[in-house]
Amino acid sequence: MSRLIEVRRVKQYYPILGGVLRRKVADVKAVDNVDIEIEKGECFGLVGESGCGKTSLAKTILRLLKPTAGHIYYDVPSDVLERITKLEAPEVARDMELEKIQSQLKVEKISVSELEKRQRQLKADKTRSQELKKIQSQLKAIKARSAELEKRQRQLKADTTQSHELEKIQVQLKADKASILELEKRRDQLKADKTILEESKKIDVQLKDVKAKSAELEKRRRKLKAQKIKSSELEKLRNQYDIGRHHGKKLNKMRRKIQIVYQDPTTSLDPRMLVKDIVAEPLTVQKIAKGTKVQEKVIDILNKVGLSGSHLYRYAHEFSGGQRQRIAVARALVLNPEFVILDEPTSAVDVSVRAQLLNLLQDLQKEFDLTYLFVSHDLSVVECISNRVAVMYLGKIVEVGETAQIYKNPLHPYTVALFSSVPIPDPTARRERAVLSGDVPSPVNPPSGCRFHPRCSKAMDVCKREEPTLVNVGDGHKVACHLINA
Amino acid sequence: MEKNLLEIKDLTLNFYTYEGVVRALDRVNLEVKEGETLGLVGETGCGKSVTGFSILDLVPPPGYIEGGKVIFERKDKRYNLLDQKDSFLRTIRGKDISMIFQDPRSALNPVYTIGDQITEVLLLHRRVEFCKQVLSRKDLTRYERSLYMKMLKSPSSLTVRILSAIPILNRFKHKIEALARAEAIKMFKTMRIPDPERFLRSYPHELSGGMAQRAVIGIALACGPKILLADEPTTNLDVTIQLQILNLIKELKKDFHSSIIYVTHDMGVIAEVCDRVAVMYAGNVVEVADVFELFKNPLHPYTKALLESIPRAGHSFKSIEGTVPSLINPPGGCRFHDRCPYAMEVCIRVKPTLVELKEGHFVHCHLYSKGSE
Amino acid sequence: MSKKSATSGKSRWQEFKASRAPMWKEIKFTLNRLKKSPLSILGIAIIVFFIILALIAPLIAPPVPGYDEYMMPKEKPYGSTPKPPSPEHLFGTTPYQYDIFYGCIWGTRTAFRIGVFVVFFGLLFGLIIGGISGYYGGIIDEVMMRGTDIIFAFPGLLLSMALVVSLPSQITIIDYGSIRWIVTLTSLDKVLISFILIGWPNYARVIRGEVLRVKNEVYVEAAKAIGCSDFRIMIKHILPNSIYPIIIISSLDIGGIVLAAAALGFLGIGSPEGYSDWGRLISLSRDWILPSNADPLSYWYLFIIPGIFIFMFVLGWNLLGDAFRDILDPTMRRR
Repeated sequence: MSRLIEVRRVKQYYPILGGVLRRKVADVKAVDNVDIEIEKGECFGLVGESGCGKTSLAKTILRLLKPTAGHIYYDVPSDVLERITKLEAPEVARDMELEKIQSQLKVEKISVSELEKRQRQLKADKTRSQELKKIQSQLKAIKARSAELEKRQRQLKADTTQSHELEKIQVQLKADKASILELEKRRDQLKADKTILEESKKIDVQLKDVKAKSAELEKRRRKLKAQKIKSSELEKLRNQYDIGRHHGKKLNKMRRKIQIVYQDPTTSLDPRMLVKDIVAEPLTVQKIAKGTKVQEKVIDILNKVGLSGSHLYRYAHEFSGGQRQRIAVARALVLNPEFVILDEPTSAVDVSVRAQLLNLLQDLQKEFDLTYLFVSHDLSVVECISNRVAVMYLGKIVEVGETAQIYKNPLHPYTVALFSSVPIPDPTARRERAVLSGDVPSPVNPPSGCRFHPRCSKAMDVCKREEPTLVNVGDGHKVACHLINA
Repeated sequence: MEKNLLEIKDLTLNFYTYEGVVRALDRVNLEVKEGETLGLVGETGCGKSVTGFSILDLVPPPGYIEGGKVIFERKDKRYNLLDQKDSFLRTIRGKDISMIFQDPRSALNPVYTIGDQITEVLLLHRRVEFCKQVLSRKDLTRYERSLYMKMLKSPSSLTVRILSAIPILNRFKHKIEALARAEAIKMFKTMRIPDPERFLRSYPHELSGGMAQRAVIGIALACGPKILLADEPTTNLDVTIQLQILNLIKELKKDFHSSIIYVTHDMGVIAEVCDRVAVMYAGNVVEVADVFELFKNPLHPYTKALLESIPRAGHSFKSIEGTVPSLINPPGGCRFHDRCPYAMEVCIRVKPTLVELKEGHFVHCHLYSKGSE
Repeated sequence: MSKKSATSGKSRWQEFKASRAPMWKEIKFTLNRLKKSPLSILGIAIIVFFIILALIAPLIAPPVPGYDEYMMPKEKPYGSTPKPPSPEHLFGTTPYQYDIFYGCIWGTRTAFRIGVFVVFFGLLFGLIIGGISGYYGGIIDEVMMRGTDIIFAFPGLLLSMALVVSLPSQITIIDYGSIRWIVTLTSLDKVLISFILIGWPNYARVIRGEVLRVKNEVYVEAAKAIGCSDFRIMIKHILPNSIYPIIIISSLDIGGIVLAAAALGFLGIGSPEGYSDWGRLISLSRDWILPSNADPLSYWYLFIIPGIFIFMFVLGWNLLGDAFRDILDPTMRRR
């Protein structure tokens, strides 16, 4: 089967504007370096929770949003695709190294700040000097007191009548001598305690080390950025096939081939338009047909989705949820597209209607030879309808493969947790399931290294530092996890 | 045999709209026992949410309850909630029967912090208890003591209300509010929310969906209700968060010994959480059974079709023919007859009666009525 | 589910009827809601009455031949004392003997002219500017909204007076050899233009708000996915869904504009003396409200009768605006 869509290293960042002058302060990294291949004629499922970026990815492929980076190659013959891959190789390598350096730099920065914090802590640690001072003053006081007592003792020694006072003084003197000895011992201990000093020196050495490393990384980064590896052939091919670059007329033509069915049919159909106008709009906008031919096509496609011509002259809100979704499907298919993105088409309809809708989608796929991208968070539906599935988490693909394989043998810890949290409609199958703790972190500041490591029960040290890449573990099943790829 | 905490008998509800009279509920009968989780399953428009609302008489016009009784047992006295005055119902809402809503972000007031909202509930219902606690302290000024005594005797006294509104003079409320906040923090600690003080200070829009739903659950359970009405609380949440919330509900049920009426359309959640299940279709209860029994041996054709339409790998999708009927002119007799593969002649004319086939397993279907087969 | 083909199988008339059927259903629903509120029916009745009055003006108050029909006829002895209502002058005469009856009837026409003209053009400018501003956002939005801010900063009536005074009476558009196109502005035209220039920011603001709301709806994004041009989206998708608040505001405004024009007319700005304009009529009565040589309010017909006309006209439009607001409220908007 030939490749229909080839998504390469696509990023979709939404800028966050802040401050008085509304400058970009941060990015919402909705889709971060995603690679997807969709074959012709298949149904590709994309699952993940809310905030994982699957809707953003769908919208980027549809070109409702321009990708911040990356390329989307549409309908490229396989030999041309190979050529592109070869030409891209140096660029890909450079980008990967840049990314690695970037993340390393971040890690170094964090350790620098930690070390500096510790440094400041130690410097501010006055306890030792304070204790020293206290002991000094105590020593002085006791020494003064014992000196006085000795004077009194000498006075009394000459006078034998005050013997009990003499005894008292002697006892006192002895106690004082003992405490003086103790204090002096403690004082010497503290003076010899060079631990803080040593630690401070060690930290200095470490800091210097780390700073040198970061300087080196920076140098390397700048060198890489300055590298020129553009090739004109690559640019030409990209201008032809990369829909991320299309605009104007080319983009409009591309819209005929890629269409979308939205999640909620109530809001995705204009409430002020008749059904006939809604379904005919793509034809009029794309200037494919005019006049009576439009009507014919509309009735034709309505029949194919299970509605009739008598439904033409009604508003969308007069229909039930399932029928409205059919109208949305009809609108998507009236242009005879090749690729249809289904953004959770069954979430807003009832369970009983869901099956009807899914049957309809499958029949239409066979009849019109369509390729589907089925985005959903409903895992059971995706299991039944897709050939291959990709699991997304916080803007990255964590696992990809054939549906049966992934559902039978999920490898990534997130996939395992996701699948096990789906409630099974069978009370005898109630089991103790591992609850995934915490909430999905915000995509503005994703965790370093593997994005899943704060919630992963099997997180290792390397997971905090390095981001795992998608590695093929056999039969097209790819996983991005250090545990598997160790 | 546990006794029934809540009984709904022959509840009929109509909505009077421009297009006609929508017969939303038609002689609905339900029972909730102490300490059990009753699942209320059905599709959109079957009336499960309205049933929950009408228990607390929260159905807004143009909806009017035409008939039936909702009998609730409280301190060994049985009350018909539909006959009671609003002032009585207000003592029940939030205290004996609480509700959790579907969208947590819109169930919370966006201009008040979570702390404000939960102390509102606590102060409303446990005021006497808190007053007594405050009065037992030694460090009250005479002013505060007199006000608290007044609050104890007549909770809605005008003096207390006016003084609570004036900025400096209402400082006496701080003591009772501090008590309420301490209670709230205790509540959220049992729900294992990290850093409850910060949680109390945050606004609903600062919270994620799962945390907001936990806040709503906390507010609902603050006064230890006997019945918790959960109206699709996890439908809008992600699967992993749904699991957290479901586990939380199960634990809290054990701690608080409440019964739960869990309204949903997801059979998987029902299988996880419920003890007994009632299936509704187009305003009627069609089958009631123990959850294991229902899944192993569904009797009503609608229940069977519902269970079969759940997508399963390897099988093609089975759907139910036809669409849900409009309730303005509901079909006569059994409301399911036009979609039922086993429909008989009698189904079109006569409404089926309740038949108890096995102990605890009730069906409304002519297939099982005596004499017909 | 019978299969109907496009043109054959149905006559053109049946097609047309079917295509308009949902519109009729909506209109019926609207009328039903209107019936429920007696004040709206009152408002509609008042406006219909005034419309009829304006239409039959030449019949009941025949203009004097040779004169501009809008100028009120004067009685021959041009005395300055107004005369009370009598069989020849149904509402009496003003000082200098203008017929009040004539003035009030033809004043209805003037009022409609003023109201509709100002609101129409103000709405046009407001829609265009507000629509573009709301849809595109960014710097265009900023600049246009600051422009509206500047106009809002001035008190309306004072600004309009200043504009009326400073607008030229003759604008030469083209003066090239034999082609001359000079537009003459009467003082009434100046008033209208100044009202338009002051009134459009209000509409622009409201439309901008609505456009911002509708812009984020899913169906607009779906239209973009089909490949609709921005213009098409604005006209076919955003405008029909954002027009409701504008209908309400503009019907309220027609009354308001007439009131403002009457205020200016009372001050002497606007239509020339003798023009049949309600405000002008009241301005003629200025010295006679508390006359020096007779009981106060003995010349009541000078200002009370035109005042009633103004009052009823503005009331009618206000009730109509309220009626629109009741019908078009969100519970119906959901349909």
